[in-house]
Amino acid sequence: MSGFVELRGVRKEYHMGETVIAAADGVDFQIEKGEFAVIVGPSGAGKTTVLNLLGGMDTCDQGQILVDGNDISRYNRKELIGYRRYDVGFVFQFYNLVQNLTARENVELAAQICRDPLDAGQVLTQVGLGERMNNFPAQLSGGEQQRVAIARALAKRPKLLLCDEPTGALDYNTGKSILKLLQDTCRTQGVTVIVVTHNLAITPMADRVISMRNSRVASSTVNASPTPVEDIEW
Amino acid sequence: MGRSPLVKDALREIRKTLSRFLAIFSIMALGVGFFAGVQATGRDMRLTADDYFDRHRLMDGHILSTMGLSDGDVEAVRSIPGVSGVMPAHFTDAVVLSQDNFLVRVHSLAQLPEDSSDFLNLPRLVEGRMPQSAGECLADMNFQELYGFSIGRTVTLASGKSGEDLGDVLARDSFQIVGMVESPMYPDMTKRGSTSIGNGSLDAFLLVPEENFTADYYTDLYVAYDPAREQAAYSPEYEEAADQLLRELEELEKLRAPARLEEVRKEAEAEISKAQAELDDGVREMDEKLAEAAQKIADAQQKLADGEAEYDEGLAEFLEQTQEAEQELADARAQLDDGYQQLREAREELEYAQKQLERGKAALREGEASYALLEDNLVLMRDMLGKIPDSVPGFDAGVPADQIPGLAELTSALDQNFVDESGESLGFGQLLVENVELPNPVPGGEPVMIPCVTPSSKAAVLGALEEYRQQAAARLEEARAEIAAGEEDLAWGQEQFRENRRLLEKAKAEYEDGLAEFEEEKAKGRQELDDAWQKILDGRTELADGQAEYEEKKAEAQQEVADAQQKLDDARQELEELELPEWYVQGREDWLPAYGNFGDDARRIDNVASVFPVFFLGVAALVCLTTMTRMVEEQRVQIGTAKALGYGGGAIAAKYLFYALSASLLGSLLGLTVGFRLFPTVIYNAYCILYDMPPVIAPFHLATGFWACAAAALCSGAVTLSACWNELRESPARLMRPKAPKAGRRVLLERLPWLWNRFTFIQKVTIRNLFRYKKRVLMTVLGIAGCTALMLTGFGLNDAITDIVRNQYVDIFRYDMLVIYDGDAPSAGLRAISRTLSEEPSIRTALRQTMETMTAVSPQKQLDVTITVPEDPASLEEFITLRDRVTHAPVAMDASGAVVTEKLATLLDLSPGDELTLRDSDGASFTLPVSGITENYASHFVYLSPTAYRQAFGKEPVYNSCLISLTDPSVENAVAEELMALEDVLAVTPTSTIKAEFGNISDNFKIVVVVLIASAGLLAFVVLYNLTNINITERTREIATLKVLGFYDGEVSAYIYRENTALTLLGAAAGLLLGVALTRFVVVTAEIDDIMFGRSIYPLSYAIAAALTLVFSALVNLAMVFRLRRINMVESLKSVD
Repeated sequence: MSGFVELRGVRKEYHMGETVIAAADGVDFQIEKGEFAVIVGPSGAGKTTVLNLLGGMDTCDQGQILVDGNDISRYNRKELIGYRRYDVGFVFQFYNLVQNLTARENVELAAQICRDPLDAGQVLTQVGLGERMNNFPAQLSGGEQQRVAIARALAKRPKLLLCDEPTGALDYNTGKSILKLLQDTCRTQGVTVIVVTHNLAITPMADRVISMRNSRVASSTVNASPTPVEDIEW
Repeated sequence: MGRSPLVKDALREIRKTLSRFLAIFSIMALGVGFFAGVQATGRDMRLTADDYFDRHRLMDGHILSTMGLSDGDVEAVRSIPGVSGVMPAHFTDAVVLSQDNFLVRVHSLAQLPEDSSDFLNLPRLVEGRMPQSAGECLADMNFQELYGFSIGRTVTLASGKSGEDLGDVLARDSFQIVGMVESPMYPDMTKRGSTSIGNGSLDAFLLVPEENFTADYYTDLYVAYDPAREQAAYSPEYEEAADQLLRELEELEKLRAPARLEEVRKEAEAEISKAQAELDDGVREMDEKLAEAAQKIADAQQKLADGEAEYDEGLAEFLEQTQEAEQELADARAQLDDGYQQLREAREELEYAQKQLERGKAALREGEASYALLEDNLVLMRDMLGKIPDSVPGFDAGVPADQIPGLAELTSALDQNFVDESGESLGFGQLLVENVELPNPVPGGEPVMIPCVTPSSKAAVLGALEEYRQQAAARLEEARAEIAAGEEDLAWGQEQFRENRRLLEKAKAEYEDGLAEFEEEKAKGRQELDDAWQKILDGRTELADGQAEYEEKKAEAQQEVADAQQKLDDARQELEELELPEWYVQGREDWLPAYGNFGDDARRIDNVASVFPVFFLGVAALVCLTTMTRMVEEQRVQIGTAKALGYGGGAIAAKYLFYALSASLLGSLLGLTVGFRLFPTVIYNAYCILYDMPPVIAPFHLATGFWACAAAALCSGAVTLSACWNELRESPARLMRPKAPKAGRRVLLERLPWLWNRFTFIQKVTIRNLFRYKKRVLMTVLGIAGCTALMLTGFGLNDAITDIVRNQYVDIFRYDMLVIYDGDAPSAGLRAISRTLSEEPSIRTALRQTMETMTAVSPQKQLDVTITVPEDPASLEEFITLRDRVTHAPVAMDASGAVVTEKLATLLDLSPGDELTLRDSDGASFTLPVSGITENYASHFVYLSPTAYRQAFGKEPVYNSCLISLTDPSVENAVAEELMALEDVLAVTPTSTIKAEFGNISDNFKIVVVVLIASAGLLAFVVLYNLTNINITERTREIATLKVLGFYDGEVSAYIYRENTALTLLGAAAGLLLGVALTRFVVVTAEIDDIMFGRSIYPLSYAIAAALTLVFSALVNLAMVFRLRRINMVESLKSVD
């Protein structure tokens, strides 16, 4: 059976003058619905390319990308926007909050464009920012900002939550709490979460670990008993 | 720097960010090009003028003397050091007789070779050739352009002053045009100067060969002065040198004036004595002539008296002759009547004779009948007698009577039938019976007597009868003869009668002929007499006329002599009182009517150049600052790296300096190259619709170019350094870390929840963003405002110009036609004009007025003004609106003060209650109080009531023009023609004509406006593009994030553009405010003295200026849509840099 998310022979090339660099060179993997998946690999392994493709931010040159049964690799520009709008939530390494909007407003910014969003206040309370929702990003710590970013992604009720190095800019404890939030979200709300990271240490907490090297998937392993975040050290 | 990595880096940077480089390049090209181009325009105008003036040897000094100038003066001027040319000349002002009479100044054309240094003010031959004979002339281009004269046409001139003859000045009054010229003396085609004739304003000039001027002295003298010539026209150095010349000339005047006076005095004395001699001769001649005339009159009187006497004689003779003739005729008539009477009597006699004759004839016939009867009786008697026997038996002697039967009857018949003339019976019967004696049977008895018829008795009877018959026959014969004689007599009598009658008829005819002849003769005589009488009467009249004429002529002649004598005496007196001649020494500015104007116009453009281009440059600097700031911020990390690698702050900044300086310098160079050529050419050409000048000389001004480049470099360098400074201050470590994003903040509006909550989410975001990027917002708003302001200024200037025509010729000058006539014309001529004005049905109303050109003087300025004195000030409002410009409240003319036009008041700094000083063409000054200031746009007017005029000038106004309003403006041509046909009408100007002319001129000036608007529009586009570009670049990450969040392209654009739109609106609004101020400033600076521009900007102009800004903004946004689309979402994943 095919997974909730499935990549089949996905190839993505970048042209740098004369040379052609394949950022993804036949990537195949699948992720089941409700899984907490982690894509790991060193810099330049093609994780971000895969993330971009999955997030509908870029299109592949070959292969298929199936999300919930739809081949998004065949989507045109507009369908891709719709896909991003309704199906995907995105959490960035640098949060990418709109500095000029309060936490609540940042959530609303995303919520107001999708069908049947969650209430911004409720989501923020959910991520533990019930008290600070009227603060501007600059008034929040990095972890808090990332929580806002997660809330922004969740408010859309996405099928898929994509996270790009969500802890990359955070200190250890905060990173941990963010990971916990993501894992909890996955568990409690049944959202499929894909985290892209170069931090191997967090792989134990994942349901599935996809390891990438040289633009290919080196291994894809299912972790039958994920470790709770609290128990992970790095 | 050499080939250091930093330079390489900078060059690569340029290649990489070409659009940014081009933004700085183009904004600098625009700003510097406009700045330098407009700055250069005024200079180029002066340069062109100077070149033109030098090539055509325009005078530097001009002398006009009250006594004319002589060759001695010329030589004296020539001897002044530095004077390189002296051109003695003549001029006179005259009227050109044509369809529309116009005023010209006729200058003498020096008869010198064109390259002679004494031939000044060389005309520029546009068409045709120079005159070759005295009857040829060169005409001002205005002849062709305004009055339709072409080469080959003959110009006929007349003196513009009644009582003056052009022949006193010029040898001929018509000239054939052989060439059309422009003259450096008259650079402004609308200004030909003022004159003392006509309406006081010259329309054109004419150059005629000098020999045509008859005066033996020169009117004026033109001087060329090398020290001035070497300087540029309109420069202070020129003014200084020219002043030096003027001072020298004024010095010279002190020497030359007495000499000239002496010359003139000598000449005049000679002339006076010559004139006196002539006058004396004249007086003698006149006396002779008068005597001759008196003699003639006396002769005529004598002749007339003789004639009268002759007439009287003739009349008497006539009467006598008539009487005689009448008498004769009466006699003849009486004779004739007698004749007729006799004739009538003769006829009666004749008629009687005839009757007698008839009666005779009848008696004859009776006689004949009786005779025939007699014969019958005789026969019978004889018969009867025969029957009686001679005897009876028994008796032989006879037959007894008793025995004869019927004897009784016989006898009775005899008795009765034969009677004598008296009817007495002749008793023939008795004769028959004779008593015969018979013996008495009884014898004895006496014999018995027995009656018997005896043969003897019988014979006796028979004989008696015969005799009787014979007698009767004789009588008959006699009667017959008598009748015959009577007939003969009658015939003769009738013949006689006829003859007489014929004679009488003849006499009568003769008489009648005579009568007719008489009547004829009489009538003829009468006629002759009457004619003679008439002749006498005529003679009397003639004589009386002759006498009157004689008296008149005599008086006249005596008056003339007296006048001439008076004149001579006056001349002597004048000569006695003759003062030193005065020289009017003038430079170009004072003598040439438009020399100064051109300089003023050039300065005016300098004024515009001092605001507009600075504005442009300011906007350019702003854009440069924004761009460079952004660039430096973007390259924070690089700067930090370079700093960490040990490069000094200067070296790092050098890269950005190099970048900015190369962009701005290259842009400046392009701008200079185009600007120095484009702006002077376009603006000069627009101005030159008013000026007769050669094409512009637009060189590359090195100094200006250098300074403009330097300014551009300084601007861009300064902003680059200031942008770098902020970054370079920080430590490399900090620099290498992303700059903390600018914190979001609540805005003031959020404190007003009732308002804030009304905004949609996106609107709130927009408002916050606006307040967040204050610097950028300020710059954008300023940039956009500047562009809008520039465009509004362009449109406002356009409105201001359009307003001149609309306000002046529609709202203020409401009359349809202005008629100028000779106010000093004979009254018959003036009456003819009034009659036409009042009788022409198309003329609704007309108002007589005085128009006089004078000079309004203040310590700073001298302005030509038109003094207008309406005959009836109350009805002026029907023709000319006097009102306050702002409130439109009517301005009333009062009895003592002057209502002056607004621009005049502004230029002379007058307000109601101040004193206005006027100077007339003779130089006399008058002051009068200002009572009001009225809206006006073209020229300067001073409105005076007749009372005020009298008070101010101490004389009666001479009405010399008329304002007319028509019932139907479409008939203006017909009315104008009708008026022009009147002898004393000098000019008829329909308002529509001026309106059209003015409209054309202002249309041409609009080219400048178009340049402004186009430049401003271009600037607006560049500014908006650049700012939007920066805005997007700065917010790439945010935009990418929005895209990742699934915003559609439209939503992303809207998110960004909402801000742009808000900024554009804000900028446009600010720009409109700024534009109003800028327009006001530019309008006031760009105005020429003679014209006031409109002071209001049309609502449409605000709308268009704002709309254009929005359109540019929309275009820029449209162009940016593609940039937005191209923003890669991957940007969102990058770290903040």
